[in-house]
Amino acid sequence: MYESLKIEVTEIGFQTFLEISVYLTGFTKNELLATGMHETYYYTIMKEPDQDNVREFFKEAQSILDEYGGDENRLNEQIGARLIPPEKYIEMAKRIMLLWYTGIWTTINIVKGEKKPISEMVSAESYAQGLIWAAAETHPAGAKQPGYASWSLPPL
Amino acid sequence: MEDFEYDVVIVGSGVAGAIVAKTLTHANKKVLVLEAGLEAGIVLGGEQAYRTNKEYLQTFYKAMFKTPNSPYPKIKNAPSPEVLDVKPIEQKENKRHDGYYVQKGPLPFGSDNLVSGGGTTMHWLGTTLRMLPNDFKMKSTYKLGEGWSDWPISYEEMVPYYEMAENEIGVSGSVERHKLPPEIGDIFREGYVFPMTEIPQSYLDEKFMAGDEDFKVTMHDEEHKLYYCVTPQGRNSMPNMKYNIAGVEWKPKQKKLGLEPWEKKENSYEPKGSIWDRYTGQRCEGNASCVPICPVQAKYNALKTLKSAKKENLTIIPQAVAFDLMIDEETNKIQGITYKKYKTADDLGYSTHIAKGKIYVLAASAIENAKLLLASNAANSSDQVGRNLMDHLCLLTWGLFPEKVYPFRGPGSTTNISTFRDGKFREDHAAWIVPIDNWGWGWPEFSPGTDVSEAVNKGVFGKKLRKQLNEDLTRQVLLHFECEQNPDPNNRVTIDPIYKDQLDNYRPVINYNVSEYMLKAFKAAKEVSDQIFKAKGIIERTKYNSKEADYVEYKGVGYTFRGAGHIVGTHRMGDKKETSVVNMDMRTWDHDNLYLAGSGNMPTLGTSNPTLTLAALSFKASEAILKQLEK
Repeated sequence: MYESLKIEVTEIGFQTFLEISVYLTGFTKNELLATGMHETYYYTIMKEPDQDNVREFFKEAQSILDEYGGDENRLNEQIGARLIPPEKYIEMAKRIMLLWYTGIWTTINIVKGEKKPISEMVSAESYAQGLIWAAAETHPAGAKQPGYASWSLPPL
Repeated sequence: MEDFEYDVVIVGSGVAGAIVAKTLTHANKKVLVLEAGLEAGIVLGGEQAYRTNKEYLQTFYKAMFKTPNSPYPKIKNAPSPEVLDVKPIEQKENKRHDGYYVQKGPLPFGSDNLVSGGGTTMHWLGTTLRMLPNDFKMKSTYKLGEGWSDWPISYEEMVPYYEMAENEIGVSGSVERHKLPPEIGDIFREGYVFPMTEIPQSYLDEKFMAGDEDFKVTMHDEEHKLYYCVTPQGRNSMPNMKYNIAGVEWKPKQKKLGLEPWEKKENSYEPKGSIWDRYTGQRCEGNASCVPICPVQAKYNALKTLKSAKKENLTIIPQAVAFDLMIDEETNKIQGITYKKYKTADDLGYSTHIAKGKIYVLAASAIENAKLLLASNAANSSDQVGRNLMDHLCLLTWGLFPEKVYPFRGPGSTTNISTFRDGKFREDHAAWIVPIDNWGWGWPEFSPGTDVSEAVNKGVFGKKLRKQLNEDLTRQVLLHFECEQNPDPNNRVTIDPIYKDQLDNYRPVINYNVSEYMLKAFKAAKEVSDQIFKAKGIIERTKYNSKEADYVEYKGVGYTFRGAGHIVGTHRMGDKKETSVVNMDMRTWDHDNLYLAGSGNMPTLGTSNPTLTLAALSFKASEAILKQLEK
């Protein structure tokens, strides 16, 4: 899974990204790591045109985690107030949630003050690793097939 | 190649063309198949076929909108329609006409087909229902008027050909559990079984059907039970040990095709797996992506039929787009088919050739067959070519089931409600079949992706998001009310020299509308759906929106219908040359050596997916062609 241990864990936001994603997605750290997409998604976000915005987002996320880590209710409250509203950090929180859930990343370019979003499936792998399938207690359509007659029983 | 005269030249390698090619090559005829799709898509085995399937899968995984044609290459030189191009008709001058169809309206035609080796069976769902006896005689049975036309053959005459089609495709099903309203009677031959046992019904089906023993819906003041039919499908399951048909054989002495039993008693049906490796795809594995692609080819596709043709008698030329039939002025016989062979999918650059045969068969799909005939001024003394374009108009209804039913699993549909497939009401409005959909609200709402977008847009996050998605997605149910469209000569395909594609071939120009026969059906169907939802405690979530492409209003209520991909009628069969394009053998009235194959032949659609019927007709046409060749 972690082939490149050469990633500096001090690389801005790499760990923060994972930690905050736990609270954004509702999936555990292990579940997120098990997708194998942590690195790929991090590097996708690092290609975002407005890197200042990315840095500010992770800085704010880390400060919330530092201050309220351990108290889930306060954490959610703070995340709800400081990261979730659409005007915050060019919808970064929402884009990260959709990235984990669907494997689709939306880049937002600001052209003459207007938001120009471009959405793309990150990879074939990101499609299959989307959390939405686990949330629906199924498998990605066209991949990870559960076997003949599995559909006639409730999922395991 | 150019001067060689084949016995038969076939345009198109979908299920119709493939069945004719296989049947004729096994009767020792020399056959040429022209396929407009890419060469890679018609490689019939080995590593290349495997890699092509994997490429399609990668394209599918990465597609933003998983439409039926999404895995397959977009070929500028041989375009396919794309459902994303179906939009409301623009009310202005200089309309853009995005996509392949030129939609003249008043409503856009919403169905697609696929230009590729194997044709539309690459992306089809796989449902293989037969038409019902009255479907063949709608006009006389229900005293229907202008536009309607009875088939020149009956259901009883079709039965042996249906059995041939079920054998070739490899149908999994159960005759005992193929429940139809009792008034329809038994439609299967005594003692008949399908090649394979039924595809198991889904857990969702089971929950949906529960508790219905005394439940009745009311329509037009009459009560009706819900009859649930286990849907027969061209998808591998378990061989049925009672099935004893080995295959189809040409009997030159009797001048007929026959269904042959096994030579040895211990032989049994062998499921046909993938074309690249026979052990892959021996049984459905639950990929739940039948539309648009089966990753293991447990689902039938026409490449399997082509693969089992007699190779030494078959020539296939891919990347070959037929564009003109050469007609002898005196005899009216077809002398050749000119085709453009393009080098690559998108670059300009092609060479022109002529294919010659004793007999010619067009099997390019309903719309493409009509287009080619119109372009060639062929077979149209009746003025019916391109007319009577029909589809199943699907009224979708959807909601949340009271308990978890776990959709997004298994084949797209494993059970259908057959109650309204026939009845006296057909004097007044369309009949419909109701497949129960196993894939949640995918079709109307693009679930599950849209569900997470909507939740996230509302500011839901974290564990609350996960829980909400879980509770909603696991309860999504969807019904299709697939309504049989009435034939209307004004629903038609034409051509116009101002609308051409990159290869300078015509694009289909479509005029299309829905009649009151359909609108009444939508109203009745929605009322039936409302009763079902109420009885089962399903929370209605159906929304029809006036901005949708095929939105209509009737008696103050709006309905959106969607095309099922069941395109039929454009060169119909009949018993009179004045009112039909082909006779009961599917030979054109106007040209002695030209046959038409495929769903364009169908004068009515009934309430079944047309593939099994068109496959049956392809065997019938093959029989007539062999009779003619051996006269």
